Amino acid sequence: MAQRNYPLYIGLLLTFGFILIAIFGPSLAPHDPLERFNNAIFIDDEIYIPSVQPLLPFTLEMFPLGTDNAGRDLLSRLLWAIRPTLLLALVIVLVRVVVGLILGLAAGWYRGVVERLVDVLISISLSAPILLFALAIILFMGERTLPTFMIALTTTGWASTAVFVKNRTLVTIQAPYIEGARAVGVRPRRILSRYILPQLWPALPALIAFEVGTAILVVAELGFLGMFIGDAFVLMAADPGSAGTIPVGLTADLAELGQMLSDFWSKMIRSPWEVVVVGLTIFLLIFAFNMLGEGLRRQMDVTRPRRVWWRNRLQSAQPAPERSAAPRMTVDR
Amino acid sequence: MLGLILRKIILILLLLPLLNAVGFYYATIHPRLFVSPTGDTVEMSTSRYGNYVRGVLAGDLGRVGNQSVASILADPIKNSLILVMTALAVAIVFGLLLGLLSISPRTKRISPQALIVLAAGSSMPGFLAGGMLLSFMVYQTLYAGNPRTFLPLSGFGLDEHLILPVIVLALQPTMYIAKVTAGLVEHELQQDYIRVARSKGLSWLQLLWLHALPNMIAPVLVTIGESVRLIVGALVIVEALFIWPGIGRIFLFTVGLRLDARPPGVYFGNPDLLATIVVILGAWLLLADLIASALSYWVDPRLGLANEHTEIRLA
Repeated sequence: MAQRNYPLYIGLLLTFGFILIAIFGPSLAPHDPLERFNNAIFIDDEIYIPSVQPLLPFTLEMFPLGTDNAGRDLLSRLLWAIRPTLLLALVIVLVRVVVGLILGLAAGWYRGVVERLVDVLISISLSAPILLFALAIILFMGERTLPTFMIALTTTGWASTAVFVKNRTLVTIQAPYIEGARAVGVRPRRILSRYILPQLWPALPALIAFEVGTAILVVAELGFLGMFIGDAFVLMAADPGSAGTIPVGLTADLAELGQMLSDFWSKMIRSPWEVVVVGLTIFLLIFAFNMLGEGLRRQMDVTRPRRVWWRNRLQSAQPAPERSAAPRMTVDR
Repeated sequence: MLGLILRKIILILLLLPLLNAVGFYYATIHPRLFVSPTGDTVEMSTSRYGNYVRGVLAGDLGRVGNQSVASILADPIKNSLILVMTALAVAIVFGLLLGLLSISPRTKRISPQALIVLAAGSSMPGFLAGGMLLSFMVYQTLYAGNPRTFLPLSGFGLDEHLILPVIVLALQPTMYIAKVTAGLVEHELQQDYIRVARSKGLSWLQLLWLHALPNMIAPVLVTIGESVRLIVGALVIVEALFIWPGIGRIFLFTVGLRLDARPPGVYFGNPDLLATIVVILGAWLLLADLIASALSYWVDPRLGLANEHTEIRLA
């Protein structure tokens, strides 16, 4: 009995949706994501001034999701925000995976000092809470630029990839064909590139998808704590006690999901819907990549019974009954 | 096994002083310190750390203003431990339960519905869940005209004040434990000995309890150790969110991060305080790791299996 790979379908659907938003979202946005609406809007004898009192969702057709706590259109900001978040996460993940691949291969291939060294590095970076470590590095460097974030998020993040690659390499290296290749006199570099690396490729898409989810999560967490790339301004609001205005919070400029979570306290009071909407978006984004990873993992898992629709088509085109019988042998229950 | 525990203990004894030194050094050269209100720069000399170490050896952990670090941290440590322990207990119980429930007895695989729930749960980090929950409740009270909240939003107490922080703190570890448990059970149920047991006519529960579970206690213990890391990592944010007077909140003050945009307080950049906090948090993590791995080796001494299980957990 074959199962459909629902996680893959859901993951692909959501991921493609988000990628489409990342590409076309900014041109679909109804307003400028940075524009604060200072002017009063008169509708039905009611006066709305978004920058003074943020608008609730669905109050005005102009602002379908309402405005954020500084009076900017929330929908436009959301449509703009997917692109930088995804790009940042992708760049981080690429560095992590490459570093993890190299170190994992080294630990799996070499015996002795290199293996010990990489093992110690892995256990150190696995034991450090990634958020606290990243926070410490960003605070320490004192500047919020892309290189700082890259360093902070990739110094420890490569460890899970490295563990995976190392274990895979250790398993592969015991295979008889590696022994054969050695006996024939194939050079180590060629064994690595010809026999060991190809064993890793099938697992890599799932690994990357999971890592993208983790990276988005850490970026969002840092943004929540007020650590983001870009400028911020002090938001002033009317003081209920006096006639003047008082600073309410430090609000981020750029439309990026992590930054939109920053300044939580003033947002919680002034525009709680913003936190909920942005939080749901981040949740869906992470969920999409986790589902994609899970689906890819299942797709690559050969022990899992599955339905391969195109295989039957191929069979009807060119009959080869023996070949199609072989994979089904594993499915008896 | 004794060798392993000894090695870990030595590592702990090496790492904790290192953490202490790094924390102290970090607080002294923290770049924001250079714009301190008094305008003076803190000198980065070893003699200060020397003084500190001499004080620690004499039983004095240092002081902030005229309060001693020990008196500042005594209550927060207790409060944080209460939170961590409750969250850990909740995560273990519900995680194992959810993990076992997500296996379909018919197909012996993780059922698709459970898979989606598990993936959704592990995509919902604690701070996001907490922030959204808090915002929704504030929305209810301020904008939807419903002044009473179902649960207290913030503050300390060993009653219903504990519920929201524990839910938020335990959410991710629960899902993590459930996911790993489900994966392990699924893997175990594909083995040949299970087929033999089934052909003997054992029931589903007997199969699970007597045959599959004993084989996966060791990796589950390691997972629980890892979920302590998740909890302690999230502790800082959760305490800040719910204004829980614990050690994580003081840590944020010391590093100079506040969720509300107020100026940093007296704790900001205090080396004695930061060094102690870092050692305490690190000790919790390392001790959890030590206990978990010691228990798991005690339960299952076959070292060779470790690699296989890590691979399952990762993939």
